[in-house]
Amino acid sequence: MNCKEIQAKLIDYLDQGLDPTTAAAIRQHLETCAECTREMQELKELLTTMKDSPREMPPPVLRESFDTMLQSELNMLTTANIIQEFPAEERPRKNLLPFSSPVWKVAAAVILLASGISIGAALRTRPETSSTDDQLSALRKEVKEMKEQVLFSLIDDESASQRIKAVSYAEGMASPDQQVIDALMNTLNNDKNGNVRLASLYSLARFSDRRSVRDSLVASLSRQTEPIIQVVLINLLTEKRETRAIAPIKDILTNKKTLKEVRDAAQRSLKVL
Amino acid sequence: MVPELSDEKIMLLVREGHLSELTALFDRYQVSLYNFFLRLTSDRAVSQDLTQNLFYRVIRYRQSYEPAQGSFRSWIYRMARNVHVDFCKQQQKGPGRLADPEEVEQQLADQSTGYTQDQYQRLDLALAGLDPDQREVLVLSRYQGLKYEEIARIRESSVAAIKVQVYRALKQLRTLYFKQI
Repeated sequence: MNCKEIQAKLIDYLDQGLDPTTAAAIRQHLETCAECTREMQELKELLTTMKDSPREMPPPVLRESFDTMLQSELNMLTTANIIQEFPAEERPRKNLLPFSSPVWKVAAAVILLASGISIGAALRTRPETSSTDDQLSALRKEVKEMKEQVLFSLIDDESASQRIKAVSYAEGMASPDQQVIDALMNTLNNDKNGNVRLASLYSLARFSDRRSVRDSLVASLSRQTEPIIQVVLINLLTEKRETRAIAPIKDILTNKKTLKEVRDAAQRSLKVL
Repeated sequence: MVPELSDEKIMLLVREGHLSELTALFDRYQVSLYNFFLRLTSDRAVSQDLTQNLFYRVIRYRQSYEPAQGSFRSWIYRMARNVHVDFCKQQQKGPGRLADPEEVEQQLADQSTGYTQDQYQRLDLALAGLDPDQREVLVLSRYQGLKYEEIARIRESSVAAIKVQVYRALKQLRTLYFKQI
């Protein structure tokens, strides 16, 4: 190798990316060539200085603004999903909203509407992405297993938001096994937090084509006292034309404690069933 | 316990709509990417903005992520590169013009008069004297420590071409850096 060839290999030489024979040849050349040695030393200083250059820590505000941005994207995503899935003829008409009634009633109406829509969204099967790539499908399988792990590790967590996270992982599973279904069902029937129970119901709704899931949902109907969950459950079973739900729905209707909104939903449902 | 996930798996979750998972990737990459922008722009406020923009794009374009096409790292760096290019277009200064090369040479010449500067600062100045493309390839390769294969993917080029670019950029940098002493 002449000097030019040596100099072209000096970066790899310093990175220790050369085979032993070439590296030895360069080392030998450097012992006798002052010009190449100088070049090597300068390059070495440069590379070391670059490698050791201190990195600056970004200010904490960077993380804060990321959190804010993420939160607003999450909100937008939720809203977008609702608007997208809502059929035009069922769009709420402003003049039908009971403006004179207390605020909570309006809020309840919105939530009930949103629940119905989300159920609709949940029932739609997502288009399967076809991929022949084995590596990719192995990755997907790992992700699925990981989701199960997350689900089981968080479903008994202290924090309600963690439990919601756990049950929402089930939503993404194409065909969860019975263990997952049981865990969701247990949450739907026994979790002390209404939001967690509702999230669990949404996840279960996706699998309500299974008869066993519908059986448990019918059984759950008589246990639920939370109005939102009652309405979502009634709507779901009605949509599935589940006639075995008629008896528990009648019970809800005869119960004097039942809220008007729930009663309305029950009556609509009985007409269909 | 929840297992530690690879970048690729987390990004797949994000792609499927689990947006909050992105926080983990932000924590893993914010320092590197902030410093990537900082080396290219020498401006802290701008680098913060660009890092924020970048993660916004990650959310927006999450569907374009394909693990079969390479690592998450090359994907996000390619996007970071585009964020920087767009920023430069906005500034209408041409891609990444930090300073007038003649000005840099003058500054460097001024420093050779006895004043010993911190070697890192000297290096930064020399780096600023490179043309933007050379600067970028060195930042990716030497400051960010990416492999030639990754840089080739990021810059949509070949490993051989990247090696030549690094070689030329280092040669140029060496001239500028040692001129200062």
